[in-house]
Amino acid sequence: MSEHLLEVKNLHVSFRNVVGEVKAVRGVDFYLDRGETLGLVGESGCGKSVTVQTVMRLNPEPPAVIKQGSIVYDGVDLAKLDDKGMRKYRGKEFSMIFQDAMTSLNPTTRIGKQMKEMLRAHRDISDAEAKKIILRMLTMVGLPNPETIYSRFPHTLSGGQRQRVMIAMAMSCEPSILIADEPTTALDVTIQAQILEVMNKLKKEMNTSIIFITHNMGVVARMADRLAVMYAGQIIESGTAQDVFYRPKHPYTWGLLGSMPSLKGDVPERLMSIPGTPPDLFDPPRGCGFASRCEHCMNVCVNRVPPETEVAPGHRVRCWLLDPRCKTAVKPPIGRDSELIPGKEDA
Amino acid sequence: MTKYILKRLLISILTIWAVATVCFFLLRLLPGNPFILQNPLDMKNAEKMMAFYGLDKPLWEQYVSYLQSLLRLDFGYSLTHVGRSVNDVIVQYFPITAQLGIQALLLGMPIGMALGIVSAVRRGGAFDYGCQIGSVVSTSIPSFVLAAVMQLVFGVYLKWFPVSQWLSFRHTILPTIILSLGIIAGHCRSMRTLMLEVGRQDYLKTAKSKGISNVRIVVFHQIRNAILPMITGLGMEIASLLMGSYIIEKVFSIPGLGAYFVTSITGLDYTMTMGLVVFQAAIVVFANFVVDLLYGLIDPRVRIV
Repeated sequence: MSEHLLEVKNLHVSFRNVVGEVKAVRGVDFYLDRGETLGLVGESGCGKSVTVQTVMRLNPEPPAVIKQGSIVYDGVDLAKLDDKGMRKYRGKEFSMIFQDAMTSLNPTTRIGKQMKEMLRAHRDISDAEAKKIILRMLTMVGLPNPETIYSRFPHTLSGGQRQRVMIAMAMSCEPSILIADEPTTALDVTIQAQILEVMNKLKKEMNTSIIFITHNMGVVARMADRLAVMYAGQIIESGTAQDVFYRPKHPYTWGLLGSMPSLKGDVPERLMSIPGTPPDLFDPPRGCGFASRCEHCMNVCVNRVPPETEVAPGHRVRCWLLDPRCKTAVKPPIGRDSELIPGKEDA
Repeated sequence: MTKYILKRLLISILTIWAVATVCFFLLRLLPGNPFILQNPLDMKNAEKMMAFYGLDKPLWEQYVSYLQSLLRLDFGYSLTHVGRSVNDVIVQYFPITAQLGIQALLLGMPIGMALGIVSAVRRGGAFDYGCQIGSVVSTSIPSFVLAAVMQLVFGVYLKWFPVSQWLSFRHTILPTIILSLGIIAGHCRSMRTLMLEVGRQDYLKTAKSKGISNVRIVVFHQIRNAILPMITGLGMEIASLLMGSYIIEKVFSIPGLGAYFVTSITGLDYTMTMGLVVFQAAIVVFANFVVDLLYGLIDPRVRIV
């Protein structure tokens, strides 16, 4: 059907509770090709983690419910599988590393045993073979003396070492997609760089695709081929990393990029910040989710959800400013080629 | 490891000594003396008896000699049960009390923990609600009411079990069940809470992301970690159960230590009270000592090498 490795279409995920439902993901489309890294960025609570955890169906269901949409991987719609059917995808085709490496490993089980458990769940191999693979993986992620690490308990390792173990474990079944949910947020900056390097190295060696979640634009710039910016449960802008970084079209993306400190000469007095808070997804706004915080907000923004506009091949933006009927010209405060928005002002 | 054990042993002995000392002086602060309580008019004999047991000597002298006999593990003679040593009483009645406590724990703990685990896994289901209600009900009904009702139903009407006494294993069943109900309720509730707590941990999500079976996730990752805090409380629990339940022993006419504990205090039986208190302290200290050693085997984070 599709030539993409993974294609998520119109995904809606809600969390049901006693009083109603929180619409955490409200119509997300994205795809991932073999060997590429997709960066998923957005602030806390925008639904990035829920989206990727839904791909692996890790959210406890209930309370999570997939309201509609499809997650097609290898011709199979994962959204329709039951837990048992999902099991052969988890770990084998998809694997995941989490934000807090300190708490992502079982504290009472030795590293080797935790890694072996996953290998042996998916591959029919002997104990000795599994150990060989694990030792090789531990070496690949740059851990010295893997033999000792193998028989150690997580609490004897540092945060960086644990994240390396997590990566080694996640990659041990040679998955086609690695989902990294803010893998470096809890680490200090020097370790961050090393971890990113390890991920990039393994990705090349194993031809794995990565979905990289972060709210750190600097990190995503190092990692991602393509970017998707999420806000209030929707992807509001997506495109190649160049497109989004240098030719951002959505006011929220401008805010996100503007709030990133730059190491280049022209340091502004203050970093830009976006006033206000994201909408309550228990009762999401009728129109654009960003409308209440957007300085270019128009009447239509409040009342109707903006359609997706393809401004360049593969560069899609959900914003009324790009509608041909929009007469306002806005100059983006950020981006390399600061061109007027919209381009078709005279239309 | 040896160093740790030696250190713990030393602390244990100091703890027992402290308990003995505090208890010794507190008891002597109580007004009256044991022999006057037995026969209030006979002052002359009471004084004789005091002299006979050495209770007329200065307090510090009594204290020193008490500690000396304690070193020989001799708790002395009872002041109210003539001709019986405290050691005799403990040797004769402690096994009964301990048997009741251990049976109740062995019955209650696995059942309680299993119920807690199933409730947590099927959270929000009918089973979960049933367990919650059951544990609240069984902890709020006083054990003597429950005991009386069960004696009536199973002993008098159905005649399945003897109503009271402690003669054969059949006699132990009813009191064991009643004593274990509280244990079941407590363990069920705390195990459920701990399971849910562990269920929210990141490593459980990691486990799920590995694609292993749910049974494996629950058994190897969730239960294993949820059980750790339960073990911490086990030392105190064992200790309190070994000393039994005075109420249940009373209701079922079980000749256990409980009755001696109560009557020795009201009767100012210094040696008996002291002996039982020191004995209980030793059990508490020892049980916690063993639990701490075991804890290291189960939780690598506190393992002492």
